[in-house]
Amino acid sequence: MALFPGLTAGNYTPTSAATDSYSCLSWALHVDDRVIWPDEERVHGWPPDLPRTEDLPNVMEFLGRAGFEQCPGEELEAGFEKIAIYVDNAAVRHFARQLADGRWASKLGYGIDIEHQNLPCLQGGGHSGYGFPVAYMRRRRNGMPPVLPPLEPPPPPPPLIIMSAC
Amino acid sequence: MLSYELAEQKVASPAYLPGAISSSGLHPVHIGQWTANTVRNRQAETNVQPEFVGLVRQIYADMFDQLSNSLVTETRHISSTSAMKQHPAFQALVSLGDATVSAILARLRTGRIHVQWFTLLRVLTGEDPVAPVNRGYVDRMTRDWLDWAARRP
Repeated sequence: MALFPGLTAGNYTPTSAATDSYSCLSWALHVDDRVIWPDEERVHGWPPDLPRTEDLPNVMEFLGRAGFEQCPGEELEAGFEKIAIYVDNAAVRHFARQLADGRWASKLGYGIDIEHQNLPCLQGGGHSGYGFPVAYMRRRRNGMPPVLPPLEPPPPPPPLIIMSAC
Repeated sequence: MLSYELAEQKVASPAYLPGAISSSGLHPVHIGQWTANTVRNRQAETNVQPEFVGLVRQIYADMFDQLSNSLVTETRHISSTSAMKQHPAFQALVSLGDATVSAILARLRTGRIHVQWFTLLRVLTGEDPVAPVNRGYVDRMTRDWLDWAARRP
């Protein structure tokens, strides 16, 4: 893949067809039917009370609400699932989720899903690349996907109709 | 010479026909901006020739195809909306204005859906017809935008 010079035939495996239905952040959270991203146009799912900005503290706050805590590095820790956050030019660009065997799962934008041996194979890439993994968060593996915070206000309740018995 | 007259000459020149764009060496972004300017200038005239309008519409359609293919292909690996918006083809599609809106809605109707369409629709129309609970769901956003289009005068 020319876009990712670090990807070689031996260090990644495609695991899905390309789809526009979810983002790399969605996939890091085991979501495969909704795009989650803090876009300022309010096209995608995002908590209503968090800014729609791509800065690292904002995204870490979101992941914290989903049950993740900051951790120092990418090394495999038994019983924990980790997310690596790639940043380029002070903006988050990619999320990768660590698998139980230490490899990583990524959705490449709105392209394919892959499993890759390490994090550096996706880093760099020039002005449209992912930058570098700079922050890591973890949660205890419990066999379930993380519980996400509400991404948008729920629909308003139906109007209350009072029936009078006369 | 008025700019649209110059534009007409360019349209008549084989090197500027849509099928020859790649061999002309011109970047699709420049063609898109030129086309938008041409139509704006031409629409200001009272005696619009139907043949010219038809030709420009065809150029619009061809330009949308080229620019949208470029945008989708070259930003497919990008989740970041802000990064996607920096792509030259995104800016060129914005410069095409209502023609881009119409072309996107036509594609949504036929199921040729890409997530980039929704950001373009938001930027170009200033409207937000998608229910908050539907944000991020491609199929639901498609339905809400097509409902919006059906309500448009």
